Amino acid sequence: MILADTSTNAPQQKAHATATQGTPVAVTTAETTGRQAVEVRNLEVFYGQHKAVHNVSLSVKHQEVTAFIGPSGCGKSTILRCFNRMNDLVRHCRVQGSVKIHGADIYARGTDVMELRKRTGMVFQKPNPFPKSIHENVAYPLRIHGVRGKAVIAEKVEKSLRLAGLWEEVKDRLHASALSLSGGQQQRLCIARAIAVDPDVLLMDEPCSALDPIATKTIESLINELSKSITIVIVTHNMHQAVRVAHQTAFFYMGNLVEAGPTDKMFHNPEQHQTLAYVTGQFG
Amino acid sequence: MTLPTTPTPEGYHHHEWWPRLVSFVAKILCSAAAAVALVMLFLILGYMVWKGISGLHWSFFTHLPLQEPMGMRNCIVGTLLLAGIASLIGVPIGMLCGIYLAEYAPRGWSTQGIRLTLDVLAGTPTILFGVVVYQIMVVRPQNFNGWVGHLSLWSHRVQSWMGITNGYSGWAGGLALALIMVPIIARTTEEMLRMVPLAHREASAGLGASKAETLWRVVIPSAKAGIITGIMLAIARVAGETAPLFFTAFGNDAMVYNPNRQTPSLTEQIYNYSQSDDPHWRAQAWTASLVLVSMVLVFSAAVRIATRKRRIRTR
Ligand SMILES: Nc1ncnc2c1ncn2[C@@H]1O[C@H](COP(=O)(O)OP(=O)(O)OP(=O)(O)O)[C@@H](O)[C@H]1O
Ligand SMILES: [Mg+2]
Repeated sequence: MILADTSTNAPQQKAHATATQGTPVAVTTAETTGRQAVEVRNLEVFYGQHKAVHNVSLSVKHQEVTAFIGPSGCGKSTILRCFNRMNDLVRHCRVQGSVKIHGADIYARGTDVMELRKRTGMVFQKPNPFPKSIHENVAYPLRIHGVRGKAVIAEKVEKSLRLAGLWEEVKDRLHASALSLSGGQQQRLCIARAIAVDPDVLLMDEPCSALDPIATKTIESLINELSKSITIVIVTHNMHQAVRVAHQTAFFYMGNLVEAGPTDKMFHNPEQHQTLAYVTGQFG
Repeated sequence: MTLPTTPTPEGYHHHEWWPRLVSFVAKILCSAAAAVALVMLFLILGYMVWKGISGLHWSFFTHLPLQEPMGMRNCIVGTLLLAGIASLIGVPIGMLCGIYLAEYAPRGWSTQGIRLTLDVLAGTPTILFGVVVYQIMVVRPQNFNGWVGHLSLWSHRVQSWMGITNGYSGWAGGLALALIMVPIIARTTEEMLRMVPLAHREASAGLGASKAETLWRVVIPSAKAGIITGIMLAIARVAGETAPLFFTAFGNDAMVYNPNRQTPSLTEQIYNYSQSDDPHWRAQAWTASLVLVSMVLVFSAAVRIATRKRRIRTR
């Protein structure tokens, strides 16, 4: 019954089948058990007096895709933005507890936040390319992190655009404005920009919510491809998407982590009834 | 079961009459106001061209006021000199001030106070700036009582140290004009920076850029067109200032390249000549007005074209 609920839609089911084919969920999980990219312990986040995240502990496995799901306002974005300290930019936002990335406590004193953000790329819900050329968008992170030389930069830009699956579409107009691209192309450009400096972790906050199904599919296969070398955390409201791309899924409700585990288990055999109710669309 | 009836074509015509009347009247009023404004503008410009064009000979640009035929070469150069000095001082200070307000100032009543002060200064009659600069740079301090006296004394010491004349000079005129520019540029810069979407700042920060890198490489380039427009407006504005120059640059019938001397300007000359009994001099005033307006026009157009080309290249 649950199975039917998560994949009633025939094309979606097909996409599910094709997308998960190349990434055997169980095997990958077994192989990499014990290698944590992100470890969160007792994380609490406050916006002024309002407590948005309650005592969350979880770990994100190395070179896997982890999906954060949960109803709107449950704190998914807030937690994600703790992983690269984007919350530092928000006034009155206070973070307690510890977040370790590859063993280093990123909220410890003396953390180089610029370096952290370089190694922890972020893709936002709305595509946000700079009003510069396509080339300049991808060259920007390279430049600010000290990469010099036209040829070197051009080479890295091409590599990132290829990885993001955008190269063929833009190679003839690298110096056109990034704003002339379609929404899906812009989002892939933002991914290319985020992976240009070879991050270890890629944080994606609802990267497909502004895109049509075809662009969404392109990005999903891109996520599958990237997850071979990068740890990915993706926030999504789309249950099918979580099933299609994520090895692990974490379900949040009202600022609490309800349950986390392998995606298969979370969708078919969860331990908490709340999880079951949410993934079957009975609330949220 | 009955299908919902689709509206018939006639159905669309059963509007109430008054919304259409209101929108019709509003349209008429707006168009009429626009027409009145445009007609007035063209009347003024047309009158100026008509009165000024007769005096427009080559000698106007090559001769000095006391030569025959008269010209205003010194005034044109003087206006450029004064606007140049004003821009050199006023543009960076105004921009930095705007950047501070938009990006670094703490939120609170003190910042709000600065903002209000700048708005008031931007609307202050400009003669005030002339009087202030006159007090601190031009008149020799008679007594050293009170803070104005001290300011004046120190200003004169600094002037001597920098080799700037105590008295009427191009420097004093330029400073007065710069003071007029600062609030205008500061507020437009701030507004333009605030209009840059948060998404751009977040994108940049998320890539590991520092605040300064985000500011100089993303935020300011996005706001560039608006900031430049603000600067142009400020320059055009001070190029047309007259009153503050009476107290500061004063004027000169000779050719002046050195801002340490009393410096002529088109506006000041227009004022002087338009007061004259001699119709020939009054005609010269009209010609000077025409030249001044044309200079501002050409300058604005040139900056616009130059920045537009830049934008296409970088995009
Ligand atoms: N900048 C902010 N200032 C104050 N409160 C905030 C801010 N951002 C988020 N919150 C609050 O924190 C809580 C969690 O928000 P968050 O954006 O993390 O939710 P979310 O799970 O990402 O929701 P959605 O699915 O709608 O994106 C909400 O109650 C929200 O109102
Ligand atoms: Mg969110």
